[in-house]
Amino acid sequence: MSTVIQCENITHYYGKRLIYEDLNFTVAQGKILGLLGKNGTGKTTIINILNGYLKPYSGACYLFGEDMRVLTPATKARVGLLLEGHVQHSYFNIVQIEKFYSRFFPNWKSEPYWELMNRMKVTKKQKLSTMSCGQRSQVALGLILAQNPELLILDDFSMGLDPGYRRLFVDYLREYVTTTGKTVFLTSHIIQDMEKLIDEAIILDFGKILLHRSTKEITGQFRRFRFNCPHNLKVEATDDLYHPKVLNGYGEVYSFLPKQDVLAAIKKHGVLPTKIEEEHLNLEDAFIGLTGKY
Amino acid sequence: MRWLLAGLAGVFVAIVPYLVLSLHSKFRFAGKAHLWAVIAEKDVNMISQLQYLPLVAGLMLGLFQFIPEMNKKSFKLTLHLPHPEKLTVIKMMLFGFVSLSGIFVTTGGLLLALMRFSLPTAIIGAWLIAGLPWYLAGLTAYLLAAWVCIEPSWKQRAINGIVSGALLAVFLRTSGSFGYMYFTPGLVAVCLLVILFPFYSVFRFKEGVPE
Amino acid sequence: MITKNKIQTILIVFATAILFWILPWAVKLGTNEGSGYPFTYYSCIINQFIQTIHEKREFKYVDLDGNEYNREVYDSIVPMFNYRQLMQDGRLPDTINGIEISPQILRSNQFYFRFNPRNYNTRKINLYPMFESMSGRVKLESPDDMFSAGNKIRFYDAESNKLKHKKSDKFQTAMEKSGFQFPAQWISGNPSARKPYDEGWFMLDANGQLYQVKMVNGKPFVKNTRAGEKLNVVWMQTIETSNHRFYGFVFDSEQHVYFLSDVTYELVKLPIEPFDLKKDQMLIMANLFNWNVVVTRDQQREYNILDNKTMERVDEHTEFRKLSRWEKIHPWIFPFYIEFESFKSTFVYPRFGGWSAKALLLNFLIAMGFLIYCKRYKKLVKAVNILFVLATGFCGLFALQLFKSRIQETKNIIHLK
Repeated sequence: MSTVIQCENITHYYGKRLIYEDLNFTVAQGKILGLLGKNGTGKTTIINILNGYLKPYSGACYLFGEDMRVLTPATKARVGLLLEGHVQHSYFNIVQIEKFYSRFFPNWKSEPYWELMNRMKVTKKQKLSTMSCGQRSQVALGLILAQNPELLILDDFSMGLDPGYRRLFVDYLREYVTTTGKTVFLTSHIIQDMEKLIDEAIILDFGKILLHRSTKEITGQFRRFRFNCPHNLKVEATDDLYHPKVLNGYGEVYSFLPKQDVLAAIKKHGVLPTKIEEEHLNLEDAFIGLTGKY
Repeated sequence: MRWLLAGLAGVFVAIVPYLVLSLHSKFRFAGKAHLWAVIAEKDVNMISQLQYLPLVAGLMLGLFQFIPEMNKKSFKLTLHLPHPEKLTVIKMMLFGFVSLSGIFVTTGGLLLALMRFSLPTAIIGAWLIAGLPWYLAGLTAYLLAAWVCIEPSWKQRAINGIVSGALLAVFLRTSGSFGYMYFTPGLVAVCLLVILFPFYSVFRFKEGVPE
Repeated sequence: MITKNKIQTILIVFATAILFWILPWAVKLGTNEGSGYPFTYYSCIINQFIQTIHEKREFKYVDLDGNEYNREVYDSIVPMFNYRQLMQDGRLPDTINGIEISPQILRSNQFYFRFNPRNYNTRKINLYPMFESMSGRVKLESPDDMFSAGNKIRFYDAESNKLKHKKSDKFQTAMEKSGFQFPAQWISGNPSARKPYDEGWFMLDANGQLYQVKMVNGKPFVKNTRAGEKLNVVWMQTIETSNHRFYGFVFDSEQHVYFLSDVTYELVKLPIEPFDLKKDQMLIMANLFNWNVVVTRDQQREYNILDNKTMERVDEHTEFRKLSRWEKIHPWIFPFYIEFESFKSTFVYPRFGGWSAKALLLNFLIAMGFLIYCKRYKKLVKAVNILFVLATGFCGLFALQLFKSRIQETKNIIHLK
């Protein structure tokens, strides 16, 4: 399986604030990878770097083996881009925008686009600037489907969408991607939507990648453990114990380790719980467990 | 954009009969011989109302074309098109440049051709030389508007705007017929050099300079 | 290849040039002063220069020895300038210096001639009226046609905007017959009908010969003044005087000034210092006794008094101008400045002036300050930038700041594909 996206030693600052240092990751062909992280961890930043709209302090990214600073038109044609907020050339109407883009892409297929457009209650002459956020997202999705790219980069695809439009977006995208074997790199704040779509997740923390694993592994192995903690003793975080908390005699910790190993790790802190319960988590809870609530 | 271009063309076309009729009105009041003498002796320019029109047209076209591109940075989509970036930017600017040039040349030529019926070549030639800096100002204003709009940072946009204003002032120092006779090639050179300025903004846009 | 650095360099150069235009203009606006020369007229009574000085809201009349005169005495000792006042007061004498005078005699010998370099450093529309010189009417009548003279002389009827073939050919033939070589280099004359009489136009032909061309009784009058055989004529400015003494003033390449006598075309040289018509101004206030020939140069004003009859220089005086505040300040601030307009020319183009090495001292201080600032705050500074600031001072420094790359140092360079 070839590598579609490769980022090497990306370091970036906003002013004096370090965003990440020596960030490295790859996305293989056919994978659907979600980039998760709290606000300000640099999700949109990495999208901008990937597409050549932001010059990192150091490091390089490659799309289909090409340096992002000098992406050729042929490579750009293989990449479908959705900008945060479903930004489009809003002075076009749906006919004009389809006509405009179709001239640039050799593999353009109008059918998926018009299928989506026919669902919308808009006239053909209505400008995108007068449409709702959800309608614009449909136009954006339709254009990407029509472009038929090999790699889809979607920055916060669920932003501003109501549940109906989010569901439509996710359903269309999932069907499209799974039947065609495309590679997708996406970000979103609505992790429930991501969970339905992605194979792998990269979780960004401030300055670095916290985790890069398949969603199956995360939801399958990462659990929350609740235990009683007499004397309110403190449990310190370790590489295996995430965000431990003790309050009013009860403790909570997250881990990939099996229950017995977690218990052993807790006991090392001098805590001797008599009861310990484990809880399977969905992706959102796992994310909070990994990154912390605040 | 089409409507704006049509509107600008309409204004330039409409001003032609206005100036011609205005001239004929002055002929009726003052007499042709007397008016010729006044024009020649005092270097009176009867089409001086045109002076700022190309500048305003260039600014308007530049702003109308490039402000929407920068709305929510949708210029990213333009640069993402599978088309050489330099060529994309050149084509965008060429569209406005050529459209403006077409309007200027056509309506300017029409005006001078119509005035040719009542005025001798000496006067027509003098007004053509006087008018060239105005039209160059219009083309330069368009390019400078693109430069200002594409710039991602508001602070730098303000700086670019002030520098643009000062640069355009160079084109409009006098309304005398032969004032720019020796410097018109210089103005052409400035206009051609200014074509590079929007690329500087594009470079900064691609670097992700913060707003 | 279009690179960001190349465009940045062009922007910095442009911005620096604009600053060298705008900033000196602003400083000049705040510091400029008038030339401060007092009005000076020569007294034919006491043979002295009398200056009118405006001081503390009052006018003082003094001679060069410092003697002060009141207003009435001033009127009397400068009767050529103040004869109307003397007439009104009933104080105009019957004779001055043994010569009988009357208002008519004074008027007929009086003229004012002004020359500014703008008269030469300009271009006019090549369209002129050919008046009928001997119409027999008191006032000149504007013709219904106008002519242009380039490769040929052409008359155009204003009403129809058509070429008047017959008249054009008549004049063309007359000019060729008299030896005029086309194209005409320039045409000089007074296009206004509001003049006492018309002597037509003076044209310099391609061979540097000066011709008089006018229309007399509807026929072309063309004559070679032969001035071009005696000197290298650069320019001529015509004037109509009541006594028809001459046609105008001729300027040659040796920086001499002559008047071209009426009818005979005799050239009479003015005994003054070399006159550069591209830079110097001239004002002649002539009267029955003498000519006050005032030449204003950059730093001084020369007063030459020529005898009206003999044209000999009988007296002279030079006033030196104090430097204005602008002239004292700018050499220390700006190594040079750019101006697009000049009162010596109607042409607009960038003029580099005010060259001064003194400003390099300030530039050095600014460059050093810039270097220290960059070192202290650990900012990257290139040697070429320091040299640029050294050469251009704060205009260059300001331009560098306007277009500096604000993103922190980076190892990445962006290209445009």
